[in-house]
Amino acid sequence: MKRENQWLDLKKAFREEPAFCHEALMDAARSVKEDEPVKKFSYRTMIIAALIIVAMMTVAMAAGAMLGWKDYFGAGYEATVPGAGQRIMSEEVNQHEFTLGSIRFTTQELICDGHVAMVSTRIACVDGSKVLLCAEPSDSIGATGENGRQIATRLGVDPAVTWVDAAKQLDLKLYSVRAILEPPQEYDEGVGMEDFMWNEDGSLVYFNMHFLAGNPTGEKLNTQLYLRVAEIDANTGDEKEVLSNREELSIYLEAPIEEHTYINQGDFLASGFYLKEVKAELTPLGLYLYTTFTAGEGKTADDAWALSGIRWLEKDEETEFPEGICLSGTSVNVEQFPTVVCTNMLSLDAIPETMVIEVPDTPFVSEETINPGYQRLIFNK
Amino acid sequence: MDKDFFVREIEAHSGLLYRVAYTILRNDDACRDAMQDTALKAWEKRNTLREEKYFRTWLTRILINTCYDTVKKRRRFVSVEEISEPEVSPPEPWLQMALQNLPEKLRLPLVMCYSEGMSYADIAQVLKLTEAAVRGRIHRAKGQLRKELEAK
Repeated sequence: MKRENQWLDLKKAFREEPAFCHEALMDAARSVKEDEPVKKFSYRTMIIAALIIVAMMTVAMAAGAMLGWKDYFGAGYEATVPGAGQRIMSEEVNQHEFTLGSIRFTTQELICDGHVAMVSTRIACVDGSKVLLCAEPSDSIGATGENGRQIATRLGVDPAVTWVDAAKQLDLKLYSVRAILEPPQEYDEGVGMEDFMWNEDGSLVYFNMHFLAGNPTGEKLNTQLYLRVAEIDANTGDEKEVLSNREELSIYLEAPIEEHTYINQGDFLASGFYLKEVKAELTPLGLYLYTTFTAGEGKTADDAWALSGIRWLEKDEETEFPEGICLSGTSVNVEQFPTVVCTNMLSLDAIPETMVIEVPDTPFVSEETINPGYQRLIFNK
Repeated sequence: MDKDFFVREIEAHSGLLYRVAYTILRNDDACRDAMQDTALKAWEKRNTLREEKYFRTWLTRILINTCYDTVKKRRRFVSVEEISEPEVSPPEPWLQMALQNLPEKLRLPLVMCYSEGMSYADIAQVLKLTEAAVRGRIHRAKGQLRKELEAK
């Protein structure tokens, strides 16, 4: 694919690598020994006052509360799950329990709106024993951000310590775990996200969102939940024993709440593409917007990527609507070129009365400028 | 992975390591610490590299994690007076200033793409995002960069 704006050479924004940085880097690289493991830094164990722990835990999570998608998005994204979606995903019928060896997997939240299927799975030791649970044993405990740092604090180790080193330091068993949805092949777009957080009690919550293709219909989507647990050797970091299984899981297909189509009557041209219509589909997980363009003369499928900068604004034409939970920005589909369909998702629980679309418009880009303009169009419901 | 390969690859990627580290840390002393730690951690974790052709992506991910650890450590110990100005300006100082004004979640993928030439797929793997999310962030970053440059 031709990359637009190849001439944007950001190397010019950096000075030459300083000699002292290069020397320190190469000294470290040359100091490693092939036969011996690298000498480890001695990580200072943090001394924590009881007051600090209490203060942090109060701020971070309610005592005993299990983390879910609301906490995940609240930890650094503007996206939110609308109330309708939150209620559905937490229903008791969506909670399923599976066991692999000494580890229990419990789905807490489960929902599918035909576009995404998402699950949060709580993972803990069956008999309640204190163990360490992670996704990547070689990652540092604090690598995931604030949640990881809080767990490190609770364990009494430096957040820079890896899970493997922590297991050795604390003399605890370490397991690497995973829990992801596998939709039927005909609906599997092959794209998704995985992430995780830890509860106050040390259990791990595995988040997985899978993007669907092919518009599944019917009452339920029959998927599989792939579960994996591997006990890690704290001395070598290698997997000692691996258990995995695929559990059958049916998820109710939530129907759209409301749909609306905006037809553009006039001529709206941006970046050489004519905007024809916008279809809005509101589901319990948010608002999906499908904007259809037709390529103008001389435009190619590669040129359509200029449309990936689409923004959706409120009627003040300044405030951008919050990004949807799929966190994917604008996706551009050129499979039916010269028709191009751009998809956005917004975190909204109703179709707004007024929406403004801003589409990048680059009638001419020279070597000296990075100054794309834009075109805007107002839609009233 | 043998040591010769490792040293050769570290040398080949030293510029990338500096620029990505500087994008996060914005301080040469901190970059030195992070780059040094990255080399040592990478050797320690060499068994986690599945194929040598993925070295760059694998190394960049270790660097980024190390940079965030460095940020936390330096917050505790570095005073404002210790943060020194670089002695040599970049070729386009106005571009550097505009870039540094971007939020990090936009700045980092933009640098990885337009300074280091990484593909959207590689950036997605390093930052644990979908490829579409990377495209969206990069496009938003360019738009904001444009506004920063217009304002100067």
